[in-house]
Amino acid sequence: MRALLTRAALVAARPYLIVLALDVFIVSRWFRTGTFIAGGDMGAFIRRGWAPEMTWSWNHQQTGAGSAGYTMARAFEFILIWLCRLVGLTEYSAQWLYYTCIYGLVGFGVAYLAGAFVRSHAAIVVAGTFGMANGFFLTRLPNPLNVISVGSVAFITGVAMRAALGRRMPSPIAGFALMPTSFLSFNPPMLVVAYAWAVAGTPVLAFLLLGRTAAGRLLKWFVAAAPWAIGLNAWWLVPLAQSFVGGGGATANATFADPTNWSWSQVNNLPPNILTMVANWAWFLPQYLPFAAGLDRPWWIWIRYLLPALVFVAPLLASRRLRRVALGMLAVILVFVFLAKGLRPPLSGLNLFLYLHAPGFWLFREPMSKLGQLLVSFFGVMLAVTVEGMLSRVRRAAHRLRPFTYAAAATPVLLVLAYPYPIWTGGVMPDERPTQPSMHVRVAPEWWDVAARIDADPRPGKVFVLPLDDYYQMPTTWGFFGADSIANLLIQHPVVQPKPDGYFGDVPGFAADLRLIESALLAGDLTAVPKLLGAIGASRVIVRHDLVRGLPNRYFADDRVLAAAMARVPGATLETDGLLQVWRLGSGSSPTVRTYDRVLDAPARADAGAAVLGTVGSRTAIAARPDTSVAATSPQVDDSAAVTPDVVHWPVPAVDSGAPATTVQVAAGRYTLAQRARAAPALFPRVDGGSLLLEDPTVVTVDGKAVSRRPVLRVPLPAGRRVLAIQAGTRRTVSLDVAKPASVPVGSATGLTLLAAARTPARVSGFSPVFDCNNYEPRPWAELGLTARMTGTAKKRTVRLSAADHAACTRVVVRDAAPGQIYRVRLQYRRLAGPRPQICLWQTGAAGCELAARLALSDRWTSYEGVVTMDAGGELQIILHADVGLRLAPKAVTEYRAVQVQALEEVGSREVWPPVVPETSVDLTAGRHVLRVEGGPAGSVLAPFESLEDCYRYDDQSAEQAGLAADAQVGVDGETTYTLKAVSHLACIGSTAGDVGAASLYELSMQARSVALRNPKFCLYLRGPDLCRKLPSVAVYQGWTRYEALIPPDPNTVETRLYLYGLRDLAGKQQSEVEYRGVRLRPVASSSSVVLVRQAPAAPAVPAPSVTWTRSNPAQFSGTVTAAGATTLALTESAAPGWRLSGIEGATKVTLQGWMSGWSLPGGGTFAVRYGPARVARYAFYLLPVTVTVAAVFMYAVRLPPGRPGVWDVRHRRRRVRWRPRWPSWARRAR
Amino acid sequence: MSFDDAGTGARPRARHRRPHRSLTELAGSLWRRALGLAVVLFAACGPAHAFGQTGLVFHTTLLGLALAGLAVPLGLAGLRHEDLAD
Repeated sequence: MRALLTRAALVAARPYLIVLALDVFIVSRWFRTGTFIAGGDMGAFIRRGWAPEMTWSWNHQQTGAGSAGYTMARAFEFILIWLCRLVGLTEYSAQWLYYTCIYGLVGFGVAYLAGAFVRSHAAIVVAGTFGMANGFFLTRLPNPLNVISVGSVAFITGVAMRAALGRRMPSPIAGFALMPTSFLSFNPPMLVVAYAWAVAGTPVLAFLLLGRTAAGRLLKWFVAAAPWAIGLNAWWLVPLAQSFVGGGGATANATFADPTNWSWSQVNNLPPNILTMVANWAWFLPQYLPFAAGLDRPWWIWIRYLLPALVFVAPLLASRRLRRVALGMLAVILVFVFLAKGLRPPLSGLNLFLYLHAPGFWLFREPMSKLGQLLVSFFGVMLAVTVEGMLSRVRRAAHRLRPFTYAAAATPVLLVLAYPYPIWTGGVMPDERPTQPSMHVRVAPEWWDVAARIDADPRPGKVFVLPLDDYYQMPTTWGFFGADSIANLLIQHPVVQPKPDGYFGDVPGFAADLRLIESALLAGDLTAVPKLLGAIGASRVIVRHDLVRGLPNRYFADDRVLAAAMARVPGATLETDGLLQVWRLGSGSSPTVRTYDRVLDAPARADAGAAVLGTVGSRTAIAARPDTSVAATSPQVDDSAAVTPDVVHWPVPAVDSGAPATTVQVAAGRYTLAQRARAAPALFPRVDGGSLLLEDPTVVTVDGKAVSRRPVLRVPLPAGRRVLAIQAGTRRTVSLDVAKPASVPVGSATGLTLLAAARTPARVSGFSPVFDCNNYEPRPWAELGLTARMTGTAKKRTVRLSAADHAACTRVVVRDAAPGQIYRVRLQYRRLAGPRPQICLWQTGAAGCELAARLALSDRWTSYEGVVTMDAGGELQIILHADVGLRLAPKAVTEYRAVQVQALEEVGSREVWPPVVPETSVDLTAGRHVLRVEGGPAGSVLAPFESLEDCYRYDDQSAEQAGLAADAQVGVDGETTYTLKAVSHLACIGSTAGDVGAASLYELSMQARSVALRNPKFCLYLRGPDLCRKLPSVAVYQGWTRYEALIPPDPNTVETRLYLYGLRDLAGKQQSEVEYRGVRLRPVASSSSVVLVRQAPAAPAVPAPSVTWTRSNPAQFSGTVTAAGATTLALTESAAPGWRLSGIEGATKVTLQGWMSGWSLPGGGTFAVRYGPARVARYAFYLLPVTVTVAAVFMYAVRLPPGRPGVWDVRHRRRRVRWRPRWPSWARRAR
Repeated sequence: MSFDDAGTGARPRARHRRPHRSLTELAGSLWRRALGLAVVLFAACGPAHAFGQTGLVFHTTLLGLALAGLAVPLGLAGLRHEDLAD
């Protein structure tokens, strides 16, 4: 200790202390009192939910079903939070302390590495400061992964260089230096890169910079340090290894099949950006980096290039002693800059070769995030060399010029450090940015309250959170948009909340159960819900109302509907109301260890297992067969019947015509037949006397006999009013006074509005004289050729509009429209010449026409119906067009007739629920039987594809000049093949889908292939949201590639169109060619899946097996099974190889419910269930204090012999001693 | 010039002729120029980018990297020459 406090030690530590002081200043600028820094992949800095299981290698951090985990790798976070709570502070303060520590590691690490080479304190400070203030962190904060990675790697490299130089470096230091890398285990590629550098990169660096002898010295030191590195880090290495080597539970989502899949992340990885440390895909996206525009201003951006200038000048300014170091470092920098550019020019082919052929190179799929970390360290060292070189030259300058030379030398360095000023000012954690909330987040107090209430109940049971996320990052109303982990972080009970597109996902069986719970709630199939919740071990359900709805391409369920449905679930009780509703299921406890009386042989398909679980009782489990299917490279819909001796599962498909049917081979027996909802049923409205009937036309038949049908929903109509139209939950209006009213999807809590003719009819004018409604340039009226010719009678008037240029329009005006008044406009139209007809419904005060579907390009009379609700009083104008559109385009002629405007008014509204389809029993003989669903829709709703268009005209080339071409050929099988070609621009053909919204589930299917140069691409365009719907993507196109996807309609859409594209040749020289065939958009014939479950044969009644059990820890349970005969024991934890049962002879392992650990027991007895790897992980954890103690003793006891002081003692000798301090006698060395 | 040679017609020995240089010595002088030019090019990219010449910046950066790539082996060779000279 005395050695640490000597003057020499303090002087030696001075630059590092300065760097740490700057660290505290910088980090403090980022925080706001009482808020977390959270956003993107970073959730709130709360660990309460994980704390009880932190030290166990089986826990519920990744999935509520349980999985192998290595949460102890975050031990530092837990320690900090514990320390803060100990002194009365909160997690908010703990996060500040956390960032101060890890960012301090960065500054210290880079300074420490530079200090291995340079002697100047100023140079060391500059290196450390640059480590903290550079463009790399500017674009990656606040993700702690990059911070810890840079800091660890820099520190480890500094240790290695010192060891290579022969300095005092006790070998246990290696173990302590590697401890921060435990956090990198949450990004395995980053961890691999860090260790690859530590083990292989540092010796190579030592060889390049210091020579062969130094490299050999380092390797010898590695041999001595390796046992310490392993012993001091086994506490997280062991559970990490267990998780990745068949630990079980969660499945890894991140795959890397094609390096070009990540090319989007390399879009800005050009050499200038890499050299200036701003290479990041988000640089030009203000929603992520709102400060980037400020840094790109002309008067500031030039500073960016001082950095490579100062780095590359280092060898020129370096002292002779450091010249080799500088040149060697420069060589390494050049190599890394080349690799960091990824697939960007120049020489991208070479990088692609490395990605495809170099082992492990896939780790650099986002190269700047991995290699940029090392560049930060190297640049820091080079800056230090430059500064030291400059200082030595300045000292040689004439005395009177010295201040100016100091200023001239310091200015570029200070500018380089100042360039990323948002890091200094706190702007790097922005409060305002487009479409994203502030980075400073205060967690809604309701979450803290709900977590405390739930955790006050110590009984077992999982907590299921609804609605299910559509993406792992969710927008909340309390100002957080990022990884949706708040429930898991706060609640100590296992939380079931899948994270789509995150690093880890649930096993398919568990995921299917969760999807079906939500689908059943939305579709009104409520009897299945408690059974499924019991099957996943849930005792509580949280329905949250804190998500922001309506963002583009975000599709998650309506929480209002879910809450209304939960209120009707048998056995559910509302425990907490408000922003978060908590529903208790049954008694509020769901046993972790349980027995089942019967186990059914279920198909491998996960959805089949879920459908069975929603049908059977709670004493029956399923054992799904292993899935041996080959993973498809393009999305597929498996709608074939899955059959086992106990189960038939048939997701009713979409068909081109007729009724779907399938033949199944079953064993003899009595079967329960049920229809499990996949989506809301589509019901057809019909007025019958004083009631509105909503009927499901589908009937399930077995061998031609009707066996399952949904009852009719009967809604009483108001007396004396004729209901003309209805609206069911969406803006879509369905008229009843037509020959065949369209269907309406009716799910849970659907709001049904009845519309009848208003008592006061609409006051409608006649057609106005023709006028120009596209006057884009002044031209004489005579040249426009605008005419409106009326024919027919007053009641059935036809108007023909004609225009040679601009647009010929006429209007029909509805006067004295009251606010809220509803009008239904009907007419017929046909196009005789020119572009598409247009109808504009415009109301007083509106900025434009009502959002509506485009009219068809048809020369036959086509019916039109539009419904508009007046926002304010005034006029409603129905403006009919014949619009030429473009200048010099052909003449436009359109006819309109039979215009009717009817005023409607609401005469009733109520909440309706779909009638439940009752389960029935059918007796089947052994053999083949035919299942059929009759009465459902058939055929594609796509209109014929229209003619070729240019969907991306970015210059003045015409379609011909751009090489656009489209062709349609009908094959011998009757299928039409569409061929699209393009040299530049974008060839496209579009087809309108009729009345998407009449059904609740559609199947988009086609085959597509690339003929030349580019892959197929298509878009399901939604008018209203005005975007292409998010669709599952194709991994690889191989010849004719089949594509199938199930798509629910978007309620905010007024029109759906399918576009097929021919992408351009990127070089703009050759003509690309793609083909499509079998293009269909079909509603499924039934929104249900048909399930048959063989009932248990009659048997003498025996007492049901039971189990009493206790939980010792997350990885160990024990108890006693009482059973008269064979039974099945289950554990509501994911099936994993490590779970083993002991105590009952003859027990065999089985996976139950598609995900759960289970054992078939020949009889009762006392048992113990353990997760075996947890014991080994526990020993490794207990090893930590032992190894730390031994390391400390070793470092004290084993010191280098005297006479080898290294260079430390002489380094800080003062050059000019003006005065000598007088030290007290106790501090002076004995002479 | 030597007076002994005066009147003999022999050409006097050139005083400023450079002595024969080795490759490593040549490398030792060339690398500084290459690297210095690279540094100037990088610094010049700043004003170029400020004036919106991003294409010029891209190519100038590549040239600077190429010069630096040339300078490194020359510099290491030059170092070897200095080591040997010592």
